[in-house]
Amino acid sequence: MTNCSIPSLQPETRNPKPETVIVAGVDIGSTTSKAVILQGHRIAGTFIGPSSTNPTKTAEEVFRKALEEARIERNEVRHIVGTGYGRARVAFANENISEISCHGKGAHFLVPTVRTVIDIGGQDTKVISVDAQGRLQDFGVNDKCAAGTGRFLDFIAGSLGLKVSDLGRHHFETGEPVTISHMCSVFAESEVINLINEGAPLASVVKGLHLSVASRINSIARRVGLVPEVVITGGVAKNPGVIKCLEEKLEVELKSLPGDFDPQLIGALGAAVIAAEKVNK
Amino acid sequence: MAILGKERFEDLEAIHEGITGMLEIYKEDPASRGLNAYFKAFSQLVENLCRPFDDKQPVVWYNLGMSPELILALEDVHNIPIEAYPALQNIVGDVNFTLDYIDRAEAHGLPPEVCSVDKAGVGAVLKGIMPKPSCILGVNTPCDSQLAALPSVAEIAEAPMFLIDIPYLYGEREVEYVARQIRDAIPFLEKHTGRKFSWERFREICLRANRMSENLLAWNEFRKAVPCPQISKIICLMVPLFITFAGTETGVVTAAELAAEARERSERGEAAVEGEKIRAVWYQDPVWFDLQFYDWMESELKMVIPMDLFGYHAPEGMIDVSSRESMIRGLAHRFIRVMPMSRQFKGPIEWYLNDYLTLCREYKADFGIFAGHVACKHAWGGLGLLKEKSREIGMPLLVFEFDMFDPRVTPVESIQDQITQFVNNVVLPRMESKK
Amino acid sequence: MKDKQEILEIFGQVISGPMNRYVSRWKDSGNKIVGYYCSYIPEELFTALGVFPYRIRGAGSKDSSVADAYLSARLCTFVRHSLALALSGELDFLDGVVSLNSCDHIRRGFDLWKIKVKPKFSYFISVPRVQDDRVLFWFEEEMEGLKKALEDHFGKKVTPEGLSSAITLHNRARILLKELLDLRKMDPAPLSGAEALTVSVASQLIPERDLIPLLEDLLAGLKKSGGGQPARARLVVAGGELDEPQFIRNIEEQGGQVVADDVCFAIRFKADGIIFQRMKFCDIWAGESHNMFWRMKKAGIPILVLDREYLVPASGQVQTRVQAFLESMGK
Repeated sequence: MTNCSIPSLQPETRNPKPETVIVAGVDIGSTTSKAVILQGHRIAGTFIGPSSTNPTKTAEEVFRKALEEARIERNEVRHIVGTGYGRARVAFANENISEISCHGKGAHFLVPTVRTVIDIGGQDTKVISVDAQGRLQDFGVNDKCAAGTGRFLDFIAGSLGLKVSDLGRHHFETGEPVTISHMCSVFAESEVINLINEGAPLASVVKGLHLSVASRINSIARRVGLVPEVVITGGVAKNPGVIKCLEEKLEVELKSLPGDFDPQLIGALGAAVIAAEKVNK
Repeated sequence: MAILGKERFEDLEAIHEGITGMLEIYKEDPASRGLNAYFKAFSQLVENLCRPFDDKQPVVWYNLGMSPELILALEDVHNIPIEAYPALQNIVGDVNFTLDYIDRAEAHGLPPEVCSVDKAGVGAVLKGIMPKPSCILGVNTPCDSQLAALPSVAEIAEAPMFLIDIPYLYGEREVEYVARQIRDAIPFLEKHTGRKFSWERFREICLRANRMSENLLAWNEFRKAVPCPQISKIICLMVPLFITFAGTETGVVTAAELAAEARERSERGEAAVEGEKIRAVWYQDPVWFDLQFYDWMESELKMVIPMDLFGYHAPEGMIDVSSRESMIRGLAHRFIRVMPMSRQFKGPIEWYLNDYLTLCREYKADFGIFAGHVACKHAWGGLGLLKEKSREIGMPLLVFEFDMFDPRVTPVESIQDQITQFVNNVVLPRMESKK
Repeated sequence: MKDKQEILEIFGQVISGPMNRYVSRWKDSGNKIVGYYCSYIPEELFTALGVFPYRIRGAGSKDSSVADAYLSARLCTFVRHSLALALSGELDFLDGVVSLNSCDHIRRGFDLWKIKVKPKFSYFISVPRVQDDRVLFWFEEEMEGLKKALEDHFGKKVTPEGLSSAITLHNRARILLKELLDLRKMDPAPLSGAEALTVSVASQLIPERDLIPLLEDLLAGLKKSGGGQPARARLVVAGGELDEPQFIRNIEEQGGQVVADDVCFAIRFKADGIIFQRMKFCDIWAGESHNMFWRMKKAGIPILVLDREYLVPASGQVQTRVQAFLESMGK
């Protein structure tokens, strides 16, 4: 996997004519809510906070905090796009756009050469295909419980007494991968525990787990079609073991987002980019 | 054996190795006459899968709801069941290939609830390992999954397809309906293969089909003995044999060997399971992904399956060869009333229940097993009535859920657990109290 | 004359559960009513005998467990809910049931009708499951069989005149319905997809004598009032059994207007994309969904495949997918 630099955070190299239009994206997710303020091509302010049972209020709050960080007054913001699970509840937004479109747009803003985004989140896995302008072309979402999502790995890591962040390290220790036959996390858990009890090396089991996740994702990706460059996002993107398995399965090189960008913000960023496009149209 | 191309090599190699290995193990074993016959038949099927690449003769694909007699009557035409690859991989090859076929089909858009057998067939077609067909002949039984898979296969393979509709009931009118469609299929096959249908040849085939059926009926009969003279797993392999070889010499010989083994062992008073304790009728799909399961069952539980849904050969399959008309009608009888699963499932529930009652009675079962292949909706939909019937006749019924092709659904250990528990907690105490 | 809102409200009530005011009035005047599944059953045969053909559905079922006990949870929720209604006596107003061989699920459902529900009359049609003219004759023969069974049971004969006037009556309703649904060719369409489905489902639950005046009023009203809101995108919904306007409403809430319920109409109705819906566990539409997906991809027509369960409203995830689908079309 290769890392990208952040062209978007260097507006002078990306667009010699600095624009000053200010827009915002607000992403109300099921666990966290995010806001991004965009000034021209510059990310002027961001905020990430926990979601609550009152999405309208949460939206108001993350937006206000991001404005504070950007030192921008509310009335300077020309256009606001809401996204995420609570997108319809962002009362002050001018419109709402699905998180699938926003995710693709955000990834494209950061990596302009991207055509396919694979997002392995905690709740679901998406494969998003975008055109040269970052516009959504096609997408696939896993509809088979936790299989092929971050949740699956979280769950199994927990029952092995590991932190999910350790999985990547164990992957590269010595050991041939075992076959994890179960897709259902409940069954896979007991299978994994059995394997360990029977003396299978931890590295072999971890590799087996990663292969099983990769093959579920492969299934979604194939139907959407993979056009390079392929960028991988979501929590699982931090796991080099899964990345390696996926690269082998998909037979493509995967890129990650620029290292200094908090990937949680990608949906809100995409929403802000869409907002900017609306203003500049 | 001719194997061309890397992709084919890989898939076939696994099967080929499996069969050669099995034949190596069992060929000298006088106690494995039946299994040897199967392995020889399956290696014949492997050759069938390769030969079209070499001799370039036309190929007709067909589905697991039918037997190949009609196709065989065209000279120099190969007949290949669409599900041949996954079936062979599961029985003698490497299950991982089957799982790959299943995943390919799902990735291509077949929903997960479609039968794994059909998904695997579609996956094998997608992988491009099967010799390309001139056309496809199919029947729309035994289940809805066939109606999902067949049109998908035809579309992917870009091959013309002729589908025979199997009606709900079984009577004169229904036989005539199917016969009429079989007649219509002949010009279709001739047109797309460019080969002539030979009635003389068809007659020979029907005669062989009858000889095979006679052997299968005799075989079924010999297995009724107590203790059961022949191992359990041998019975569940009848379906692929019938689908592939009905009407061929291989079919006749294999069935004869199976029957002969059962007869000889029975005459010698030999039992499949030393100290046979329990007999069960397995009334659903077998555990094909791990045939050693049956060995475990026999040695651990002293339990035998004298008959299952896949091995039961119905008596309505004898073809009257006196005229062209009667032969076509004979084939119609087979399609409606002999093919396992089609026979039990596509009509009213009584057909399913009655065969079950017959098998339990004739094979002296201590209990019944509803091995619920997850995709068999026609079976699951009848489960409540089957349970009621079981209670009525006082026959314990074990119900579990699994996938005959895909160990990822229920691993073999879990099936073993469920059977052990049921035997220990329900079957044995009940047998004890009856004594 | 009733106005659009009034009529749609009536239709909405009619489709919300098994019993409705027209059916109870029909029964009260001593008339017979026979339930049927699926679109292959010829309503005219029933009407010619003075029997009302009533389309069996699952709406109004709160819980399918009484049917699940027999059918398991591996059958589609439509069949399970419809059998739950039947087994719990909520379809006892039917004087009979006619089912058919359209899929494994419905066939197993019919076993339960016969063995457990035991209606006074039951009949099963073996509809050809091969789409080919060469088997049409069989379907005709099956219709003959149904006619004879109905005649024997109800002790009347289907006369040529009776059949002809039944056909005229049903044609009258069908023409009205077609005119109504064709209004959706207009852009913007005066009838939403959810409203259109409400009308067509209700029309299978109301005896023609009551239905026709309602359709006439609705059509006249709509012709006068003209178009509705301009739609963000014009969609065709294709796939299996769908009698729940709520499903269409969930799609339309995202801004897409469902202008037709079948793919054959996609071109005539100038649609922008196709949503293919299929009930979970349905194999018949599984193959169709696979082939349709690739055909549409090849043709460059946007397509979204959605699995669903009967009587379960679209989840947030499904709504997001529909919205993203519209966005992917640049709408």
